[in-house]
Amino acid sequence: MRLSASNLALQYDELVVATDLSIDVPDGQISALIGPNGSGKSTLLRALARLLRPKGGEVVLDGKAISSYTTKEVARRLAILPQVLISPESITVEELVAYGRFPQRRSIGGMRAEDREAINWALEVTATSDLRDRPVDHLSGGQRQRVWIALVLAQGTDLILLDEPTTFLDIAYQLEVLELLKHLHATEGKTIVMVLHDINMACEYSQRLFALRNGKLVAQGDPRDVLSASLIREVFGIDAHILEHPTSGVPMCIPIAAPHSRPAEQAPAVVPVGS
Amino acid sequence: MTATPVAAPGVAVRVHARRPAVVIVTLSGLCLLTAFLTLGVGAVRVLEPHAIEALFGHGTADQIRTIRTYELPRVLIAILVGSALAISGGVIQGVTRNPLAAPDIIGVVKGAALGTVFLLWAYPLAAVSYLPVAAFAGGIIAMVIVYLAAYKNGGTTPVRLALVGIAVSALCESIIRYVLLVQANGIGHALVWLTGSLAAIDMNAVYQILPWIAVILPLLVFYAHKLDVLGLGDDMASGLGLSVERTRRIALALAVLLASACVAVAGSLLFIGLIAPHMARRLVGSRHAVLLPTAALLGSLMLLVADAIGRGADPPIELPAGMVTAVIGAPYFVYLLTRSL
Repeated sequence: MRLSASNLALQYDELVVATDLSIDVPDGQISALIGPNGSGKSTLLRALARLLRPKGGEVVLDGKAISSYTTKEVARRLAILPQVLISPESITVEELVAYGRFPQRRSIGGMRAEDREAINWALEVTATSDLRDRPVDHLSGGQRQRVWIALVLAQGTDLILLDEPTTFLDIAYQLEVLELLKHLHATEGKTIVMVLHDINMACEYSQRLFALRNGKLVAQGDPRDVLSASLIREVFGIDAHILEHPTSGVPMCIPIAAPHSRPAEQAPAVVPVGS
Repeated sequence: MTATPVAAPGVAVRVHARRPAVVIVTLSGLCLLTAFLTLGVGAVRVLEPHAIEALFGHGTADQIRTIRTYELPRVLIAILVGSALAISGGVIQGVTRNPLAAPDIIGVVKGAALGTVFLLWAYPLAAVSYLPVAAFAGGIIAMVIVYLAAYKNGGTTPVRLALVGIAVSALCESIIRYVLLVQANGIGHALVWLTGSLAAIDMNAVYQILPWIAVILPLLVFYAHKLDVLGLGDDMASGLGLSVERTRRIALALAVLLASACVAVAGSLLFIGLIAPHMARRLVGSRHAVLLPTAALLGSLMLLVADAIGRGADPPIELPAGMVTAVIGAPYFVYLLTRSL
């Protein structure tokens, strides 16, 4: 096991997110972190990538405390795609992906052959080679997300963490991105950890589900074993039907809106004329 | 950056970043041309081509003296200070990821100005050569205050840094005004200097600022690629192995040193540090290795023209170059603001 965390205490300023959180990231698998807003899933991911320094406990990467590495050493072992992505003005796809080589590059001196190779491979595997000279801000949402994933891949790490890689994408683009990750896992054996909002997507595309609530790990395991109506109630506080996906057979969650949870004033404001 | 409305697609006329070399060569030519053309503009007018001839030692003794002791240093300082302010602004914009940030916006210029005003207040007879020291002190103290006040949760955010900077600038400005009100003597000197004037410039000023520029510029070139990575956001930059806070701190410190050196020599020249990098970004894109040289050339050009207008508009009265840059720069700033709101 290359990446794990034990007894993490996580907080932003005064806001305590978790007091005692432990996780073992399974090697060579796709893991999904799910949970309601504020449950600590993104915070945990940031701590695993050393973007957030825990107040207590430690993250262990390749047998050593992650805090004992330099920032660059971490970046050579583990790549993270943050939630908020800023692409510099009028940058092209290839230029953006080239940033992925920053951990390997020296301060002075241009790109080496292996940098070019890594960039070309990353463009190819994400099917963005044809877009390489296009400005990033002219791309569609799905293309843009694939380009960001290409950047992370160009880093050349086996461990890849993604913070909500499908947010703001429509369902077709969500599938596009998740299929790409699945493909990377299948062909390259990458260890992938992602934060996802969509429970069904998480079940479909992960081999290990981690469900968080209030900074605590409520359940973990194969989605087929873990997902249940009681888990959804415990984690999200809602009732749900659990069905089987007609083709893949993985469990699916259909939420049931509880009538009483709706604010009373949500009655229609405009009554159609003549009704 | 796509995160800033200023750069929203379709808003800016996109001159594509494919030919930075052409832009840089053209601007260099323009700069040189402007430098030569504005050489003879002043209280004692030496018309072209006599100005250039005088520069190289041909012409009347008066012409040679006017050009070499009065006009040449001004042109040199305009080039040096213009490029230093522009580079300082370009670095600060990159570090704060805020296209509206600049040494004047984050409090450095006003802090440096306050430093010198304090010196003149406490020691009215202080030698002019102490002014740079006071400017450095003021600029750096103002920047540190801005940085500390904006520091929260193990880091800063661009918005917080810019907001605190504007507040500290306003505070410095009001203290400057208070000092000038209660302290009658020395006001004239302070005021002329505060608006940013190249009128009293001689070769000593050139020698004063040159070492700073010679040391800091290569360091910033070394940082150019790191600044590019910083432009991807703190988390992404950190994930790529950049020590975000250290890079930001060092780059900011260098930019502040550069801007303070400028204020010490030429007073508070506003808007060049804000606008030159902005125009450069439109011309060559956001890669610092080409952005910073382009901004430097634009800054030089702006200050050369501003100073020439200042001294040539109504001789023998000299309008401070800072007044001219403010007249040109303020509307552009308003334009940028309306674009970004």
